[in-house]
Amino acid sequence: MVCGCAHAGHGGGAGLASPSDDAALYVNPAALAGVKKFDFTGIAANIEGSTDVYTNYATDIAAFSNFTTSSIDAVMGQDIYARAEVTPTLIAPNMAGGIYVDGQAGIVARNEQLPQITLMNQVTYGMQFGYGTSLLGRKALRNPKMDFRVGAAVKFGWRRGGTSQLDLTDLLNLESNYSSYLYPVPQFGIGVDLGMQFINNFSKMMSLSWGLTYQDVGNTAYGSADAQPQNVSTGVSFTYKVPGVTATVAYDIRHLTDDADFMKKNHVGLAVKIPLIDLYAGVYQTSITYGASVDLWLFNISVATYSEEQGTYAFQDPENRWVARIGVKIGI
Amino acid sequence: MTCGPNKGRLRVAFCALALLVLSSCGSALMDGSTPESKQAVLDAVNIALSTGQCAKAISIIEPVYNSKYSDNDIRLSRATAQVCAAHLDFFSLLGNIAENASDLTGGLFWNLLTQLFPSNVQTIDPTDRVLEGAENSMDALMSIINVGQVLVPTYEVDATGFNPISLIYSDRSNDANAYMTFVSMAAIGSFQSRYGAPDSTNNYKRTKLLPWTTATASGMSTDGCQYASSLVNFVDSMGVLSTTYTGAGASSIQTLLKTFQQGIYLACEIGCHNLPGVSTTGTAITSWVPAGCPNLAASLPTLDPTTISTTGLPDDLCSTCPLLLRNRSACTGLADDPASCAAAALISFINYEPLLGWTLP
Repeated sequence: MVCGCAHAGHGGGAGLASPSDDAALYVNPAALAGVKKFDFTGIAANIEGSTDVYTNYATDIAAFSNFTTSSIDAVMGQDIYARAEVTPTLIAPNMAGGIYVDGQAGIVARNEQLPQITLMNQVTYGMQFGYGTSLLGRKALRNPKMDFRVGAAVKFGWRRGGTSQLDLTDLLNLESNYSSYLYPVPQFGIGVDLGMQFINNFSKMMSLSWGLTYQDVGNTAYGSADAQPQNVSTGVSFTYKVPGVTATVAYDIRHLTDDADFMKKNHVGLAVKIPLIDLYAGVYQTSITYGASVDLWLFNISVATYSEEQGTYAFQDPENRWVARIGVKIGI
Repeated sequence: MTCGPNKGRLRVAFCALALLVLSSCGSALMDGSTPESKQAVLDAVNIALSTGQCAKAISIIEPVYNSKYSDNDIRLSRATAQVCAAHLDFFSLLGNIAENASDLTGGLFWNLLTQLFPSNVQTIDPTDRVLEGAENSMDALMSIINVGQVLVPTYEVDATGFNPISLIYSDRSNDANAYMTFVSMAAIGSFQSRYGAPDSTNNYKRTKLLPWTTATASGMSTDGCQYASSLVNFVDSMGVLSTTYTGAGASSIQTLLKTFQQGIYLACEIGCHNLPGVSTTGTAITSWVPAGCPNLAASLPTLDPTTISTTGLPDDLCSTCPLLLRNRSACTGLADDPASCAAAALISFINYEPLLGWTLP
C-alpha cells in the first residue's frame, strides 16, 4: 500500500529486487539486510494526481462545489485521482521503522446511459517496522560476491473508507447519500510483509539481484473499511557501475497470484544515477514512464509520470498520472 | 544473438526475461468465455458509452449477448448500449424529470417524453434508431432474471434462447426493473414523436391521434402492440423504482406512479373487456370506442362508468391487464386476442383521457 509513490513512476515502478535503502521497508524488507548506515528521512512527502485532475480542474471544481447528479456527468470519461503520502522513516543496519499517512481520493465515471461509478476515498495511517538479515551470515562477509537475504515487516494502522462501486440504487440516491461516502469511520488493522533477496556481485562493476515479496500476507483487514489485498511479486535487476554513473535495469512481475491480464503485471525500468541527478525511464504495465530526481543538499526532489491501467485488459483504459516527491534526508 | 547456456548466466537471465515478456503478448479474448474476458467486454462497452460511441458499444456487446456466455451483467450492458441509440443520458433524464415536476401530474408528461426523445420513421430519416434502440434495450432488461427464479412457461419468451424473457416483472432484478422505467420512457417518447406529429412550437402537443385504437387496426401487431407494451412495462417497473428510489427526485417518481399506474392498468382492463372508455374520474368518454373484441365481451355484464372507475372490473380472464401484453410481439391483431384488445384501449387512453392523455393542441 505504502509504495513511496515516486517509486511507481520511476523506471516503470520496477526494482523490488534492489530497492533503495529508504524504500526497502515498504518495497522489500529483505533489502534492509544490506543497509549499512543510519539515515533519517524526516519528510518524505509524495503528491500524486491524474492528468485529468489538473487539465479539468476548473470545470470539475465548479461541478462539485454544489453536488447534484449532473456533477457526475461533468467528470464522465475522466479519471480523477489524487494521492498524498507522508512517510518519515528511520533506517538502521538491518532494520527500519516508519510512520505513514496515506490519503487517496478519486472518481471514475463511465457509461452515460447507466453510469458505472467508482468512488475512492481512503485514508490509511500507522506505523511499520521491518527487519532484514542475511542467511549466509559470515559466509557473506567472507564472500561479498553473493548474499541471500530475508526480511519481514509488520504494520499497525488505521484505515477509513475505500473504494465503492455504485449500483443503480446507489446512483438514484446519490444526491441525498453522497456525504456517507465522504466520512467513513477509521478501522484498525495489522499486516505483515515478507521479502527475499538474492544478490550476485559478478564484479565491482556488475551485480544481479532477484527478489520475491509477499505483501499483506493473507490480506490486511481493516474492519469494515477496505482490506488491503495480498500481493505476491517477484523481480530481477541488473546493475552496472562505472565511476560517476550507476545504471540499473529492473523487471518486476507484480500481483503474481491475481487473475489479471499478465501484461498489466509487468514493470520494466531503467535508472541512471549520476552525481546529484537520477534519470528514470521504463514501462509501467504497458505505458511508458519517465522521471528525474535531483539532490539539493539535504533535499531530494523527484518528478515522474506513469499510467495506471483501469481496464481489465492492457491498453483498454490507461490513466495518466504525475507524481512528485520531496524528501529531507539526514545521515546519522 | 543466441540463447545458449554457454553464453553465461547473464545471457540466460536475459533470455528467460525475454521469453516471459513475449509469452504475455497473446491476443486478449473479448468473447465473454472467461470472467476476465467478460469484465473486459463490460469495460469496453462502458468506455465507449462514456464518449457516445453507441455503434462501437453495440458491436462489442452483441456477439456476447447472442452467445452462450450471456449473463445478467452482459444483458444490462446490452441494455445500456442499445439505449445509447435512443440518446438516453441517465443523469440528464433524471434532471429533466426533476426540473419538470409540474408536468408529471397529468397529460403534459407525454409532451415531455416526446420532447426528450425525438424520433422519425426510417422513411424520413433512415439513420434514426431511437425507438429500435429503446425496444432492444427493454428486451435485454426483461431477460435479467433473479438468480434461482423459477419461470412460468406461459409468460416466458424465447425460453430456449440465450436470453429468455420473463413477462412477470417480479421475476426480474430490482435494478433491471428500475432501469426499465427510464428506458420505457424513451420508447414511449419516440413512438409519440414518430406517430403523433408533435408540434415543437407548441410544447410538443400532438397534432394527430395515435392509430391502433381497435384490436384489428393496421399495425396493431407491430407498432401498436409495442407502444402499448411500453406503457404497461413503464408502470410495472415504476412500481419497483418507487420502492428503491429515495433520492432528491424520488417524489417525482412517486407522483408519476400515483398519477399513471392506476389509469393505465384500468384502461388495459377496459380494452380487454371490450368496454367503452371511461375517465379516471368516472366520466364516460364517447370518442373512446370499444376495442372491437365482441367475443371477449360476450360473457361480461354491462357496467356503468362510475362503477368501473371506483370498484374496477369483475374477476375473469381480464381482471388484470393481460401479462402477455408485456411482450411487444404478443399481439395478433385479431378481435379475440386479449393483448390486442387491451393495447387498443391503451392507445385510446392516450388519445382521449382528458386529464392523463397526451394533450391536444
